[in-house]
Amino acid sequence: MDKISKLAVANRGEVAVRIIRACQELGIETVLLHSEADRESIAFRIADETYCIGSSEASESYLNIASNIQGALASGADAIHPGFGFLSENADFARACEDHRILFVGPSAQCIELFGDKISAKKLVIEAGAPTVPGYEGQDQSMQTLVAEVGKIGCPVIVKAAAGGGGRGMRVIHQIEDAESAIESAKRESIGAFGSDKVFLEKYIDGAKHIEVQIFGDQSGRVFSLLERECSIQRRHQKVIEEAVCTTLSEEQRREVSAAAQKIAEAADYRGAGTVEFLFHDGQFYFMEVNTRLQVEHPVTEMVMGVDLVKAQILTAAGRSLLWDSEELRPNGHAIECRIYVEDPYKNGLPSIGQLGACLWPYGPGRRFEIGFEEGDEITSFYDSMIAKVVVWDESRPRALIKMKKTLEECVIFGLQTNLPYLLKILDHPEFVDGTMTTKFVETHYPTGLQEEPIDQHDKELMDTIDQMISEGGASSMTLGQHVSGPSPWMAGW
Amino acid sequence: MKQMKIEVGGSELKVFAQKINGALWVHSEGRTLNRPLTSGKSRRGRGQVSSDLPGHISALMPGKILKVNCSVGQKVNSGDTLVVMEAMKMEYSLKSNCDGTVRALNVAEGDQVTVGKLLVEVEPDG
Repeated sequence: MDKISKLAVANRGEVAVRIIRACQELGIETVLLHSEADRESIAFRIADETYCIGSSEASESYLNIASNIQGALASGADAIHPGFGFLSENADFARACEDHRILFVGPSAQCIELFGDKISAKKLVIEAGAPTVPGYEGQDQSMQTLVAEVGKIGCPVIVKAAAGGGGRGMRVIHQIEDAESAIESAKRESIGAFGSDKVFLEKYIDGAKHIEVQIFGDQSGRVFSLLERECSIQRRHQKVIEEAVCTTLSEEQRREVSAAAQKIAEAADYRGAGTVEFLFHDGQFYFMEVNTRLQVEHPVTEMVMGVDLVKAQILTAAGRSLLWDSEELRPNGHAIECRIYVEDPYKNGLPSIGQLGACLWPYGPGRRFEIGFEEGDEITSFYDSMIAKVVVWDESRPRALIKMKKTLEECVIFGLQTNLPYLLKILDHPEFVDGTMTTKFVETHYPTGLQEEPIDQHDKELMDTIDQMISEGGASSMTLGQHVSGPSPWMAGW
Repeated sequence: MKQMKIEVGGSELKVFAQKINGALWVHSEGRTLNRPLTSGKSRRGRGQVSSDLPGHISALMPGKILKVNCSVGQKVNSGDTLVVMEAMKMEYSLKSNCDGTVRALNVAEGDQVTVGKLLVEVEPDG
């Protein structure tokens, strides 16, 4: 490709694999900018080149701007794809790329800054005429004013860090008496986490759906809306299950939120992939924030809209136009994504670390797997514990639901605990099946994960029988319960 | 990993099995089971592959101690929450893995701990 002959991947896990594969298909060479721990990963093995940017601590590697730039320059990369998380929404990083004549696959540093400041973002949205939560975003940050504004809005009110995100620097005020201490607390957390204690206030909307719209600005500045995703299944602001589209929205509501998202992106002269997040409550949409990056759950949009967002990002960064036609961009069928975390669902999601055992992914029609690691890879505690994503597509939501359950049941992941049982429980819950779930779903129904179930006789016999078969070495078939009691020697080195 | 067939009441179960990380892992009938190799006890879902010695409660990941729920000399039961720690924005309750008496407490609220740090030592009963 003209402008980009080599691209540096500044990320890890399954998204690094995703980006590398897109590059391979576009004829672009790849260099993986990785930490020491991630030598053991699929991305490391399939990249054309690899460059170690630092030790396993994210702050030393994936969050280190200088190391990433150095890696890109040393390997002669024309472009950097920041993936999601880490430096993907860091305006300084985008600017550093610009300064060093490296194409940043994403929007401009200005756009990142504009939407990174929650107050300036809200101002733009209000001007664009999109629906927002009633609140206060003034410059006057005196406690007197802030508390007065809480009173004006009417409890419950949420105080949020202007420089924040991801659920940090937020406090909910249920009674006006608690306003001052809540605001102080939010400011303290904000200054610690984001370096600024500027806050804003919003009416707290309890029990809403998280609906987000995928937008994309092509190289000419034309903004496409690729419709919405339903992402209400979240644990502590971390998404677990996502879908495209949201089947409880009417066509009119779909058009409404889609148009609002498009207007917001146009007002910011947005380029590349972005997501506009809303809360949906009582038939009303309320703007939350804009994520100026590719999102983890992008595959569900891809499957329903028939697009490749990662290639679109790279093409756009290279100044190439897309094949998309607004008229033809229409949703087809339904897609669901489940994030696979190596964690113990019976221990409230305690991460499972160690060597990954055998994995079997049950491929089939309408089944897509985004995998970051394979058998033998050491999974560490330095990063989040998502190792893969399972995405399914089918002609309707009920069918996609059945397909997801079948697929998850057939997944084999040994060596580490996974959240597979947790996902299956959620998929069976009447509120999920109905599609009426809100962001309160997990805290209401699974506040501490899953309760452990007692082992039954059948399973105990199954384990004993298999134990026996392995010890004897030869048998590949046996009848349940047909095992010899007494000591059985383990086959060494099996 | 091995693929095997188990006959149960006239029908055949296809199962996958592997010994890794000190446990026997089995996938059968749409779910995964595992049990430590050294012990005969089988528990669905639970497989403490980084096995703690009885009475040893260690940090399984780096984080911060939020709350200490026990004191030296206190009698505790298996399953009692001894320490609450925070790691990666989430809270974990670390519980006693045996009945006994708290022999040593090596952390205090607010401490930052590294992986493997021995947090509490419980002298098992009997």
